[in-house]
Amino acid sequence: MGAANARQTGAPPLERAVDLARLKSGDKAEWDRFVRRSGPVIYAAVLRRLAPAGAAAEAEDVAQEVFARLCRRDRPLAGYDPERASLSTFLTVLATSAAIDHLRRKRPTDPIDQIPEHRLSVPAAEPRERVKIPDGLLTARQMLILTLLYDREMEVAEAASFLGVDPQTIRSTHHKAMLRLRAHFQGDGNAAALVSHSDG
Amino acid sequence: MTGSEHDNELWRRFADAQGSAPKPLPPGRGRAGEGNRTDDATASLSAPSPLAGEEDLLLLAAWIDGRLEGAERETVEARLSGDPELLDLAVSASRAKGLPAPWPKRAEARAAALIAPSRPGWRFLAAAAAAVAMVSLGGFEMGRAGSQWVSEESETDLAAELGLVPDNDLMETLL
Repeated sequence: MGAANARQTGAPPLERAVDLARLKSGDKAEWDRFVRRSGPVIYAAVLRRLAPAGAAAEAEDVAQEVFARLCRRDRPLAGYDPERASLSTFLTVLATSAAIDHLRRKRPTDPIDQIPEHRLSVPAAEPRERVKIPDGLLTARQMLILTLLYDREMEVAEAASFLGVDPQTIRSTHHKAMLRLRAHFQGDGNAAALVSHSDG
Repeated sequence: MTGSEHDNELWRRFADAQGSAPKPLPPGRGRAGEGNRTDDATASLSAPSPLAGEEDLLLLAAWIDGRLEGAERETVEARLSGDPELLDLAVSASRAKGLPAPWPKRAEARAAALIAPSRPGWRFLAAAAAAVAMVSLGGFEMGRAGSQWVSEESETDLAAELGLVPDNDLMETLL
């Protein structure tokens, strides 16, 4: 199971609001209906990503970019398969991706000599010993949970919501992953010393 | 150092060792935004859009919907662990899902205009031209007949107006 954290809004699913067959055939009336129903979904996803970056005013243009992308081929939504994912999730992913790309493109490219010295400074960090985890030691789900908890610094509840599982499942999977890592590094001097303290 | 801090340290070292190099996709699947997941400093306007990999995005949407099982799910989750940008996309999309926002009417009009009303095909145009020609020809014929009728009518009306009464005897003689 993936991130099955769907929120119920009470609105009918987008799939039921539009006739996909007619839409894909290029029917103008169906396209208009699709735009009317899916616009708020696409716009919300774009806005949610752009607003924190101070680019809310550009959300309309990015949403338009998404619609242009959706009908760029002869058949609108040619790349969508209702058997694979819900239409609203597909559009949300598409719109979020477009917003991220938009922010990346508009990132300022100041000449390096105009950037204040303090912005270029990097905090001193002790060199880390690189530890190589063999492929297959952890499952993909264990790896993802460790990434969410440590790299993304998510709380257990947040990671559980993202993955659509119970928080206890996150704790349990995390625990099993750490046991595997500890077991693997038993013979490794530094790592073994490091992990031996993490039992408490 | 607490157990949690040790776990953190171990994981940091692990993450450093793994780097953020994304794992290769299984055969047949292009990576979302192939070629444009550039280093921040090298990202530019010329970079292709991540929307290029719609098939990948559909796969990610399927994962968010919880519709993937087995090897497919593992593939996506392995990718998410190794590709911070893809994970960022998944987290953002997952949070935005199901939260529509009202959008400007003008934006709706712009998007709707992307597909123009269907234009008539050549066959329809030919039929329309033929119909116009037939109507014109029919109108011309009717007009000509109408003119003759109007002429005769006009003559009769004029005679009546002038008080001229047809001389039946003369008509018979002439005939």
